[in-house]
Amino acid sequence: MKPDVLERLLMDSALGRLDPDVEVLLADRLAGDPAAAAQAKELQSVVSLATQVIRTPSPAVELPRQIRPLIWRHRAEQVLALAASFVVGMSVAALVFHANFRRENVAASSALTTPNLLVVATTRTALVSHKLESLPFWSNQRVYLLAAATSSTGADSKEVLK
Amino acid sequence: MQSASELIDRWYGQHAGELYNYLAKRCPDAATAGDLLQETFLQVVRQSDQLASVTMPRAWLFAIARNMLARHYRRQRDPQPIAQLWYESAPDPKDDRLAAMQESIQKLPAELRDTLDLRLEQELSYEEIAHVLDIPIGTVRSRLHNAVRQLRGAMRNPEERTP
Repeated sequence: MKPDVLERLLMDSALGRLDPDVEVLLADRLAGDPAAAAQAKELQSVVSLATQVIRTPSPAVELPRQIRPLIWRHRAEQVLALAASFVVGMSVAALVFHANFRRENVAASSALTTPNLLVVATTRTALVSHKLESLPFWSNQRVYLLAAATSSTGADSKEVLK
Repeated sequence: MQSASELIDRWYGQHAGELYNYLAKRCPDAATAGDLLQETFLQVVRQSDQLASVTMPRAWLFAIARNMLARHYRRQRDPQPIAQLWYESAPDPKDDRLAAMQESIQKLPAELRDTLDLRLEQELSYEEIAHVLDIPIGTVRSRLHNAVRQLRGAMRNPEERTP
């Protein structure tokens, strides 16, 4: 057997990871080879010493016996994540809806304010002037109508009066 | 067939103690070790749909615990190798040979020390260590052989241990 192969086997044996069958064969080999047996003993001693150093006791702690709370915590996390997604989704939808609604309202009110109001005012002025013409000059009704038209539309009524 | 939560319960019963010991030796305090153990099993619960494909549960759990530990030190911005801390804080043994061995182990490169620790302390097989460290089995074997060789050299020649 080559020395490096023997050394590898001795190392694995010292580390406790040699197959039992190979272990038996190695023991037979070592029985007839004192130098290799000494090497094996030395490696066993090194590994045993290292094991003693590495296996220092750690502080004793009482661990919880069950892990159920952790599973519940995970489920709670999932539920919370779902709830958070739902809330965020609803908020975004509400924002989008609100923004669209406002845009429509602004469009509708702007449509009312500028050209439509002009049409309304013009129509109203025409009606008032028509009514005025049909009434007797000094009638009370004509005076009231004139007063009302002056207070509400101002400039338009002045046009009518002219 | 066991449900995922029963399986996790069983694994917790079997391995929580040794995982805690592994973490406790590498954490500055017991509370952090407890937190990391909890994080480890929380991660297991999160991956409960993959439990059926886990062939080496012990190695898998150690791998998760090790990742949690690494993440913890990354968050602390501490580049400390995982195997470093507890060797530094371990008390000096009374026996001269043990003290010499402790010194020699401290001087091993971190990856050799980490591998040796998983073998000698946790008694993981070569395959399990390969799984935990995510390296080939041949690398595990050569790291362990190198570590033992270096320790043997240091114990033979005490002057190798002096800095």
